[in-house]
Amino acid sequence: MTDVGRHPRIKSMTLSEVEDVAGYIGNFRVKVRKKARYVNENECTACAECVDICPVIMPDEYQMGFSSRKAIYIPFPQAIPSSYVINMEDCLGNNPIACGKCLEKCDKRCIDFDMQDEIIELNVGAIVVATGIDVYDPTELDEYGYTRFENVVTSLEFERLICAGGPTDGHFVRPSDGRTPKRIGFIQCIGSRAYKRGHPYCSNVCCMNTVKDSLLLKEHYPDTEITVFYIDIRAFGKGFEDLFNRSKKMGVRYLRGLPDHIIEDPDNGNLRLKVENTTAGRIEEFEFDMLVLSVGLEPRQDGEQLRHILSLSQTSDGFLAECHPKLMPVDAPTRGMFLAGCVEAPKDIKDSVTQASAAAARAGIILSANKIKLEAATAVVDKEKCTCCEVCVPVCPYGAITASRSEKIPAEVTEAMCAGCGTCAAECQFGAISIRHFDDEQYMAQIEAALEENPRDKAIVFACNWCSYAASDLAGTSRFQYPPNIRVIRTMCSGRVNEKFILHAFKLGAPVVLVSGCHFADCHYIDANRWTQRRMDRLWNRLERLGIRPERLQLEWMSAAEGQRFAQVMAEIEEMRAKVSRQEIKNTKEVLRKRESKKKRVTAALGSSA
Amino acid sequence: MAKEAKLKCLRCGYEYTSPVSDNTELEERTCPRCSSNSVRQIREEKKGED
Ligand SMILES: [Zn+2]
Repeated sequence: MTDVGRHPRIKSMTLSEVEDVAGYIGNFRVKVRKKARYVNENECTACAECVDICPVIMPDEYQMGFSSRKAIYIPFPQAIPSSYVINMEDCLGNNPIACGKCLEKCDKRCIDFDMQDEIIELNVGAIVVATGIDVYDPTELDEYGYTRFENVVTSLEFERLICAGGPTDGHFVRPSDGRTPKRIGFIQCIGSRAYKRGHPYCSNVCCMNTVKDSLLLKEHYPDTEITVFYIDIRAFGKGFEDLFNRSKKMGVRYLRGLPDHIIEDPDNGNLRLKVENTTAGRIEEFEFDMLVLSVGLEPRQDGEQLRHILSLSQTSDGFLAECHPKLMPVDAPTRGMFLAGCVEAPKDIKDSVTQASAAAARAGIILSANKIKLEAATAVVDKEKCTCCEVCVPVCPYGAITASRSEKIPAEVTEAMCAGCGTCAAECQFGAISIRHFDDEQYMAQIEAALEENPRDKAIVFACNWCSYAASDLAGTSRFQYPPNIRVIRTMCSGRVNEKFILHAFKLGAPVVLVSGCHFADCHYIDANRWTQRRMDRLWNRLERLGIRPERLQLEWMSAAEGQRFAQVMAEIEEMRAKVSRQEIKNTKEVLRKRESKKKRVTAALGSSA
Repeated sequence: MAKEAKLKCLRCGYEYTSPVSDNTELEERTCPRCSSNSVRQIREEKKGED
């Protein structure tokens, strides 16, 4: 961290917050609020005279509240810049009656109570998001008594207690009486792999962190009795199994089973628990001097705000989604942005460093390029047709469209930001947006060609390029049989499927239409397929009002790996198709033709009256 | 905010209620019986533009 702080080509802005990001790959404009630290960081030499005189004593957040800090302080020893900061919420202020002692004490006059936040605008070519994670707060798991019993600590608190730079200078003691504990229990999966309280995912690092902690304890205090209560020990990384075995060899006991609750002995602060040893099939009782809750990791509380600023998507666990989980694990879905570390998913230091190095290399490609290849299939607005209704603006996952209804400014697409999902084109009711190489006429022509002969025998399937179309390919290459009367039409995204394509297919006699796309977490265009689902809801209602069975319009999310599922869904679609009668198709065609001619009459009337 | 909604599977006809959200973070809907995604949200009011 100090190296980064000193590096001539790295500008680090601590105590700063990104407030807005505009622009596109190679050309981002970032607005940063550099918060006032009330100490001139260039002049301050961290002599500590101000700290000594400051009368305010607050719990030290870095030491997990096990020691104290002043209102003027350095957050942690390695913090950059190495200068003090005043926490104004704690400070008594510059009113001489109230305090102002640090001001008097500082000979170099570094302290400035009138310092204001600064807004700094940066132009950058690429953005790496590495905002980290939060640690699960076990307060809600009251049965473990984290808030009631002093000697129940979290793994992070344990870390501070055993650290040489910690509040006890590395002398490991328990909080209630300052004695060195002889019997220590670790309870794994606190807030992880839990569906009701906590998170359903595995936090990845807790097992090995406990193994490491147990070794640390055994090395410093060989007589300590350590028991680890676990569901599974996940020691899958390089050298991890060895470490786990070493811990067992050193006498750490691993017991499969989690205690249901903990009782404290009020006389000595010891902790008692009963646990079902699920390997041996018996109940065991334990008494410990100290218990460590191995807490899981969770997305940052303030992550949502940043996610919106950067137009990024998240996976169902709340972490930021990568562009592709296997092929582009470092790229964010917005071009020019990259993810590193736990902001993408819980991971250990090695994985974080690997991902960060990859992100830096990926960003370097952009920065060193003279030209950047853009997407060929992008949205184009016909300004004559655009009514400035702004419908296309919020549907763009990349924020690439601007328009103003009040100022009558037609939609404009920043092509460098557009990824070509086509959601805007599908949502535009006035046909004002088309997608290069994937325009409406091309789709209408494909639908017409597919239904030219014996339309009653055909089912139209719209498949997105990245997932469901790939699934159809996989079904083919894997020789999974599916009915031959399926007609697949490729779109870049399911969000591109315009209502008029579907109605056109029904008008031409298609018995069944299926719209398919990526699973929500896999959408290649951040969240474009959410608009598909909304549109489908709208369309099902419309079909019902027109007297067309909504069942004839189907929806399916499939991943590129689901070739077998593709074949199975096609068989189901074929089954549905066979049940649509000639009369039903005839009625549908009639209804839609009438609707179309009515629309034409209205348009003509409006045209002649204008 | 998530609210209880009436849902109908258009593949197998199964009807059920489940929480759905009104914002862009829509959940992927899956029929609990046949696991199809052709799940329609049945709204009470049916005002139309047609
Ligand atoms: Zn179903």
